[in-house]
Order: sequence, then structure tokens, then C-alpha cells
Amino acid sequence: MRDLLREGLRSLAAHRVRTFLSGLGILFGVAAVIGILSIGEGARQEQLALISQLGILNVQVRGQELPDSEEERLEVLRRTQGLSERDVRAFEAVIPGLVHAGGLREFEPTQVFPKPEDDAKDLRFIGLEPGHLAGSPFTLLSGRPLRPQDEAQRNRVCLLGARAARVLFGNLDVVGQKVRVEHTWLTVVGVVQTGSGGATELEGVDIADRSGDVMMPLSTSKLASPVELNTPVLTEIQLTFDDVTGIPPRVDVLQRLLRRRHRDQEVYELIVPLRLMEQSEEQQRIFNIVMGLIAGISLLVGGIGIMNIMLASVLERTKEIAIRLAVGASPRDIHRLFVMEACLISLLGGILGIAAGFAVSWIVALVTGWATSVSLQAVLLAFVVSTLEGLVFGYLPARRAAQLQPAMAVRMG
Amino acid sequence: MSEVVIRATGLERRYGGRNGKGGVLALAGVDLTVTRGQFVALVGTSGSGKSTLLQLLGCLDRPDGGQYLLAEREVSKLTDEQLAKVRNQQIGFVFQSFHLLARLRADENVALPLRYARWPEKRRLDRARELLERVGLGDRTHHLPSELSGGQAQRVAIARALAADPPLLLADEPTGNLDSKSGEDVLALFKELHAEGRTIVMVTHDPAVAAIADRRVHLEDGKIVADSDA
Repeated sequence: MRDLLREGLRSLAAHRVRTFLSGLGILFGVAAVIGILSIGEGARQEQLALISQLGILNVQVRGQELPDSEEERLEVLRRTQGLSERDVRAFEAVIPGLVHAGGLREFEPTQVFPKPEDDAKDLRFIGLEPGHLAGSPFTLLSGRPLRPQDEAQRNRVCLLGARAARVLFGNLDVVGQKVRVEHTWLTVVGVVQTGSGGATELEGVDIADRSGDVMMPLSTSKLASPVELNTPVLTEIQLTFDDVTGIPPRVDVLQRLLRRRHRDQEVYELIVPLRLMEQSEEQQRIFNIVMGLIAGISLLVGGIGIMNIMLASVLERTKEIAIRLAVGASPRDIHRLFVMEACLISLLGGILGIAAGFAVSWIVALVTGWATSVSLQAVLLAFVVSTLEGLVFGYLPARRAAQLQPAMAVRMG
Repeated sequence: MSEVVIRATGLERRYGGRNGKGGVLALAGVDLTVTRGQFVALVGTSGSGKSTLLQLLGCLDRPDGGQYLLAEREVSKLTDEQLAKVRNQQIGFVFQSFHLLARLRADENVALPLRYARWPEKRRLDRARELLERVGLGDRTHHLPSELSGGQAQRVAIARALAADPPLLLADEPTGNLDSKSGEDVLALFKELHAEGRTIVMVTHDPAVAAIADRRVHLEDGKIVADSDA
């Protein structure tokens, strides 16, 4: 085996350019596989992060923008006032399996102090009910969350996302500091971290980056910035369920309830992370199949390239083969020699391909800004496939070499 | 009667043609017996069948008819794998144009038969060095064939033929590609090997070369027409 390995390496070293060229097909094939899988894997991880940010047990009802034209707007508002706490209470009363339910109101104050720097647009001012906060996946960095009594007593407190704390105060050590929203001073009681990745869209649904949130009790927000006429009170209602399997039937109930309460006006959209995840998994599967097919074809082409060059090499090395046979190599020895060479070529191509795959993944991430991630499985897969390719596509040339007759040695003078 | 190394009866070899018909009959029934220690020269014009006979004797090729016993063992019915083993252990070849592997050093070339006899590397290189010293090339063990003269290359080839210590040495015009001085050296080496008691069968068309053998077998049109021993 060691002899075989060394003979193979030596023979390949004698034809470096040819070896490289024959391995090139595998190199590109493997690089393509790894690059493509890294894109898929990156997208998958990003989506999982987004979904976990939404919360897999959550369902959100989001208010839609009302029509721009005054006439249509009034037409809609005549039938419904949009989402409000009354909806939340109705859900609580009717829908089974609810753990938390709460409304969220987003508003844009005209005056804020401390005055945020130019990235003020990153800040989002929201008032929310305890039930909304309870269902959102946050980690508390310092202080305490908002409590039900804050809502009940209209306490002038707020909870900051980590980025909001940095934008307003320049650091995270802000518990006890004061923020002025319009004319109301709020005491910061806590700072939270959200699980936000970079991306803010999934399956066409916007997912707010919540690290810039300035959160206060809904009742307090109404105090600081009263709800304007002809504007829905709530921007969003979040429902948290006790069990994933129970979500689909309850979403049906929720939908019927919403339609009735808002007289068939589509002033809301329903966001079901579970459904998004299923969609995204399905897309992922299709992506993997299509790309796997393409990568498989390129690996096939690479293997055929090896076979081609190996066949030519057998012809060229007829004399060497005959000499080996004449001094006592058996056909099996010759067969092994060529299979070994084919394996070495494809392995070499595979290893370079893995390196190139990392490069592809990195460049793709750099150019497109997509998240990419090379998984260990992809690397192992590429490695195994390229070795197998040597075995498979080396077989035919090796068999041809082994079938040569030793008498050629004498005849060739 | 000494030990018989080669016993061939009615050997036939046909090139081209089908099912033993048509084509060219290169060997038309050759009977040849060689005993241990003999030095036989196969002579004849080109196309007389002497190289074909050598290939059959060396198990590089199979006869289309007749019987061939090497060291009293029927070899024409062996499988390819078994024949490889016979070539490896019973036969040493020396070819007209040396047939060394260009990418292997002299000692590695010599050790090649031992590699296929599955000797461990250190042992076979030691043996190769010994043999190279034996043929007067102890200082050339690490040279590539391209760095050797024709005479040196042929001596490396002879050392390779001796590597597995086979009972039978076969040579096909071993001096054909050499100048007269190197040719003489190589012939002297064969004479020594003969003197040591090795059995040698050598194809040549050169009467001067044939003269050093102790038996001359003359072929013409695939048949033995004269045998100095008969």
C-alpha cells in the first residue's frame, strides 16, 4: 500500500500540470458544492434566527397601512377602527390555548431627550401591554422588565433595547436614567437584548429589528403621546400559544374572529412564524435539490475529465505497464496502480476544491452580503464524494491498463 | 541427465486470423528442451520466429498450440495472475532497449521485481545495491536511467533480471543497442553468469554473439532448422 501510494504520487508529480488539469473538474465541482451548500446553510441559519426572534409559538396580527386617499380611508374607518385593545380582550376570551396576548402601539414622538444622534430613525417608540412583552424572546441585560402594574398605574418607566440605549446614552449602563418622550419623563428600568440577526425580512415579511426599541407601558404611551383621531390604537397584537401543534386550528379561529370584528376589511395581516418556517424549509429543500443536482452534474463532469485523461495516460504509458508486467506485476497490481492515481487526483482536486469552496463562500458573502456558512457535513460530503469518484472513474482506465499484454514490452523493441 | 528447465513441444503461435486459422503462423510447431546450466542462443533472420519463441518461453505470451513446461510445470493453462507470479520468480528478462522505468533510480529499477514479490522496501533496496555492485555499478545506485550510458543501463537491466534469483534468464538481443565495447562488457557478464551455472536463452542475429553460447538453435519460418546440440 505504501509502495502503491508512493508510485502514484511519483507518477502524478512527474506530470504536475496534467494532474492539476485532470483534477480541475473535481476542484470546481467540489468548490461549487461547498459554495452552494454554504449559501443554503447560511440562509437557513439566518431564517432560523429570525423565526426564533419572532418566537415559534407566537402569532402576530399586524395592522396594515390605511389607504392614502382620504375618501377610501374614511370608507374603511367607517366599518372598523383598526386593531385595538378590544381585539386583544376578545382573543383572550375566545381563543383556546393562549398563554399570553398583548397589543403593541408604535408611535413617532416629535421630541425626544436625550437628543439621539443622526441615527434617530433607528429608534422605535412603542407602547405595549405586558402580554406582548411576555411572549417576545428577549434577554434582560440589566434592570427589570415592564410589569403588569406599570400598565395598570401608567407608570412612567421604559425598557430599552441595547441599541436604543447606546443611541440615547452612549452606553448600556442606563438603568435609572431618564428619557423624555414629548413632555413625559420616563425612567429607564431595564435594558434587553434581542436575538436579532442582520436580516430583517423572511419570506417577504418584515421583521422589525427590535434592538432599537424604546418600550413603555401602552397606557403610559397614550399619556405621552395621545392616539390621534382616525388612527388605529394598536400596530400589532401578539398571541403566544402553549403548543406548536395547536397553532394551525387556532389561527383559523383567529382569522374568522378578525374578519367578523373588522367587517371583512383587510386592515391587518397575520404572521405565523410556524408557517413561515414551514415555507422556508420547503424552499430550502427545493433549493438543496436543485443545487445539489447542479453540483452533482459538475462533479460528474469532473469525474469524466479524470477518466478521460487517465485513459490517455494508459495509452501513453503502455510501455511502462508492459515492463511492470514483464518483471512480474500482476494485472491486479496494474489495476491498483491506476485506481490509486485516479483517487489521488480526485482527492487532490477535492482538497483544493474544499479550499476553493471556502473562498467562494467568503466571496459570495462579501459581494452579495448574504450570510454563508460552510458546514462540516458539506466538507465531509465533498471529501467522500471526491474519493469515491476516483474509485469509480478510475476503474475503467485501470481495467484497460490491466488488460494490456506483457508481450508488448518485447515487441516495442 | 541434468534437470530440465524448459520443455516445449509443438509450440505454435499465430498472429491475426481467427480460431487457429488464417493470419500469420509465427511459430509452426517448435520442440525445444533446455537443461539447467545451458547457454542457448536462438539465431535466425528477422521474422524467423525467434522473438516470438522467446516471448512464449518467458510467459509474456501464450501459445496457440503445443505444450510448455517450465521447470516441469505446465504453464500455458495458468491464469494471468499465476503467470505474473511465474514471470516474477522463475524468469529474468533482459531486453534490447533495456526497458528501465525512466522515473525510477537504478536501484529502484533493480528492486522492481522484488516490489511485486512483496519484499519490504529496505530489504529489496539492499538486495538491489548488492546486485548493482555485482554488475560493476555500485557507484550508480541513485542515478536515473537517463543519467546512465547504454552499457550501464543494460547492466542495470541485467541486475534487475537477477533480482529475484530466477532459474532462467532470457535475453532479447541484449547487445543490439550497444556500441561494441559496451556490448563486449555485457556479453562478458552473461558469460560469467553462465559460468555460475545459470540457464540462459538469448535471441541474437549476430554470429559473434551466438558464438559465446554453448548451444545454437537456428530458426527459420517458425521452425527449428538446426540445433548444435541435436
